[in-house]
Amino acid sequence: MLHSNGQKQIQISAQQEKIYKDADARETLIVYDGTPSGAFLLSQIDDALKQITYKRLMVKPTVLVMVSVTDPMEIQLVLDRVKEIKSVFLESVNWITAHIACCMYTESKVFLEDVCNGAELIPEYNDVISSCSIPTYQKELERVLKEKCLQMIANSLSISKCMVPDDADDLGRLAIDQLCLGRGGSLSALVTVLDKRDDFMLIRPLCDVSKKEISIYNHLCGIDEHCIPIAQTKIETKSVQSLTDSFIRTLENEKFYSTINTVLSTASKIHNTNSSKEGSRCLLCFVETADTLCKTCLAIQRACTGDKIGRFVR
Amino acid sequence: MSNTIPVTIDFSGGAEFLVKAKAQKVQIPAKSTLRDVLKFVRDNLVTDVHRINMLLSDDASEVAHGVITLINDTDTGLLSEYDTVIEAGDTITFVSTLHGG
Repeated sequence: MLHSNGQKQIQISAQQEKIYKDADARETLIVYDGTPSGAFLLSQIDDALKQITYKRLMVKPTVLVMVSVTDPMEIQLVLDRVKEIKSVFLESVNWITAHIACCMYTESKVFLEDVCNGAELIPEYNDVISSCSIPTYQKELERVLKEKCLQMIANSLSISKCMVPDDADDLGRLAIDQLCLGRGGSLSALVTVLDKRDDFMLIRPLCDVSKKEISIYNHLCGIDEHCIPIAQTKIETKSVQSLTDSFIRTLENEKFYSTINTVLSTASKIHNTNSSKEGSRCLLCFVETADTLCKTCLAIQRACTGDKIGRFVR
Repeated sequence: MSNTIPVTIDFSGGAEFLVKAKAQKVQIPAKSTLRDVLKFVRDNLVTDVHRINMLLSDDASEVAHGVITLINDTDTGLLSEYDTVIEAGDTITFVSTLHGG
């Protein structure tokens, strides 16, 4: 039942939001980040493409393996595992492996197969991240640069749609983080299925599925073998993100399991009524704002030493 | 009458890297509860003691946050949670939700 629910979720997301109404724009970047949610998304897309008649998902996928580890040994481990996973899911489609440091590219690139694209920019990327002195803004900068990286790669491949494996647990935490960071007016776009950003569209088909549902499904269907388990990066102890995480954990330990659902359903109804009429967006995080940078990104810029952020906003 | 029962303890979703093997057939004392199994896992199966907190709480009375426990593929939240009595032939599964690369 979970299996058909997962597929239905992706179909419904695609149909209700009319994402694929234009028959010429079915190319979609499917992001795989090695997490259980990433493996689940791949398996669902793989299954949906094998269906016949009206159940078939009409997309032309390109799988983007998003690497965030910086150790060369671990990157090689990821590349080796990707070769194995590729033979199980979506074998006939293009697979591209790229490091999150691809966000540092300033112009379109040709992405090669079977190598970790952008790995040469890891020192430069680390330099930007470490220039931020406040842990909360550092974590937020990582998130924003990850999205910038997706947009950069999508533009280089001339693909306008990108499916990410963000699940309900990730997005619930993100909603609270963004409220704390002052992006409350853009909550709806940040946590719902569709996030349209000019010529780029982020799709979150798993936004209603919890990590627990995904993990149990993966275990029962043997998909957990197709994850790339890497120890979770330690969140800085004094940051808004770590406080949000412990807040949710405490509530869940006290059996308030519906906290995430409540947060997400409320967040999906919050829209900015004062958004700029011209539809102008922050050059760093792409939320609607009348200025070049939104207030949160300005604060991030001020927290960074040197002009490390300037390169992204020119 | 034997005082132990045979069970299978299975680890997945990344939890298998913290123990000897992914699936292990072991003997545990009869009438053990899930809480007793957690202590058994800590004392007998965990090999990566430095990262044991990714699987169990400090005193091994509960699993770490983000680890799901299943008995015969049923979420223990639907049973009696940590007080569920384990029976001979049961399969106890620990599913971790580790982050990816």
